[in-house]
Amino acid sequence: MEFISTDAATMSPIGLFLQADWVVRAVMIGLLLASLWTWAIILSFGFRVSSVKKAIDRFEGEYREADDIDEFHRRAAGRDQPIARVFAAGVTEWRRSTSGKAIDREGTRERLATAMGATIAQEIDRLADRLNFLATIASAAPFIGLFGTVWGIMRSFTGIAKEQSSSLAVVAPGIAEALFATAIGLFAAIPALIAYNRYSHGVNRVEARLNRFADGFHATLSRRLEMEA
Amino acid sequence: MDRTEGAGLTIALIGHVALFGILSVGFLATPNPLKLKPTPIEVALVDQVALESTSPTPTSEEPAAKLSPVEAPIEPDSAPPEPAPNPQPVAKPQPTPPKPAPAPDAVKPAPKPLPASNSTKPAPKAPTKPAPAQAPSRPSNRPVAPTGRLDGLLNGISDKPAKSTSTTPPAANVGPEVKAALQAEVMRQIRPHWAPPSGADSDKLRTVVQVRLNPDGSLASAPQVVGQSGVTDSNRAQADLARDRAIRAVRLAAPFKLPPQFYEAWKVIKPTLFEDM
Repeated sequence: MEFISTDAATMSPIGLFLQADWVVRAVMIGLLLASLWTWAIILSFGFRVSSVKKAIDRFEGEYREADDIDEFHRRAAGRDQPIARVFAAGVTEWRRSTSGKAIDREGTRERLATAMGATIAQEIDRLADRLNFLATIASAAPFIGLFGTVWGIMRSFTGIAKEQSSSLAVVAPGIAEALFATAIGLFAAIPALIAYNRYSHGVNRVEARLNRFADGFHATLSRRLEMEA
Repeated sequence: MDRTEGAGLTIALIGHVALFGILSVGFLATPNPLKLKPTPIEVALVDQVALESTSPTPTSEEPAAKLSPVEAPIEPDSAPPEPAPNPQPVAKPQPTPPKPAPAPDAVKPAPKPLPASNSTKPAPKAPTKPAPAQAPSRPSNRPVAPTGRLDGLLNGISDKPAKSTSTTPPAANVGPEVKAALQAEVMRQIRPHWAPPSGADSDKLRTVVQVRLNPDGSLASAPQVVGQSGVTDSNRAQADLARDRAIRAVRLAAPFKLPPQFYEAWKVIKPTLFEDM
């Protein structure tokens, strides 16, 4: 493994890591794990949001073309998709409300809206579950990195005091290694910040589309309610 | 953690390992453009007090001028006409040598200089004229030739200061900066021993002490108060005390450590002592 340089003067992360104090090392490892988890969330969130959007597109298309809601419900309600669950919640509430002899139209409308709204909120909660982690990383990682840097620079200065020498060659490796902690912090924080802003916008759009669908479905059921009564 | 998160984590892990692997191989390694090795800087340690900064450096002309007491050996006016008579005294002794050879030994010293001096007298006026006579013959200024002393000749042409002459410059050559520096140095050496009296208006008292020093810095005479100013009614009581203490401070400060080459400048010192000097 001689081609992996462990010299701190070559900007090698391993070299910088091996030079560092244990506090700085802990900071570096923590930030590295945070960066790893951030990117895992970013990627999985990207997959999930795009698949949710695609599913909404397809579901809405099929719903518009479907003639019979009951038949469409049999076909599509079992899908593992937020919009399918919202649809299923609406249909379930409709069936429950219309199974009795006397139908309370106002109460049924209210219950339909509440049931679908609750499902939407639950789906959005599940979807946005990891976003708070991104937000935390985006705001905390620079500070954690800064802590490592401050610690490392303090250590460099105590080194100066101990060796009675303030030459740049004595101080520079310690400061480089300390700054590496901030670098990792920013490396983790910047993607997390961008992804957080982008995905919270994406989640808002998904929520808006689900709400629109739920409103449309609610209108359809409400019309049916008047015809059947 | 569901399926998409597992996939994301895997991809993120691969990406991180790849990135840090590339960095570790030295992909971004700069060839250390900043030379971190400090280049040594030459530092000259200069005395805090500029005692020797303006000392006149002994030049090579100095010893030569002392060796040749003849004044004004270079006179461009008189030099050109003299080359003409110059060959004559040189040429005339040449015919004379045949004379002393057959002549007896007793007359030898007398005839030799006499015909030469007599014959040269018409042309130059003084008997010591061989000095200016031979001066033009030298290509450069060598004032040592007239004396005929070879050791002086060597001293005159060498750049090194002569061994015989001391490097102590005359007192007139000590510049005002050196004087000020010496004064400050004297005050600096007295200050630790100076315990001024305290009281009303005691800061106005200025006591001048005069003392003669030996070349080794010790006191050659008892310090005397030669002047006191700033005596007011309120500090009159402390004036005598200030005089005594000033004398004592100078006594305690001796021997003074001062550069010996400027002894002329500090043979007699007159420090002025005041309260917060």
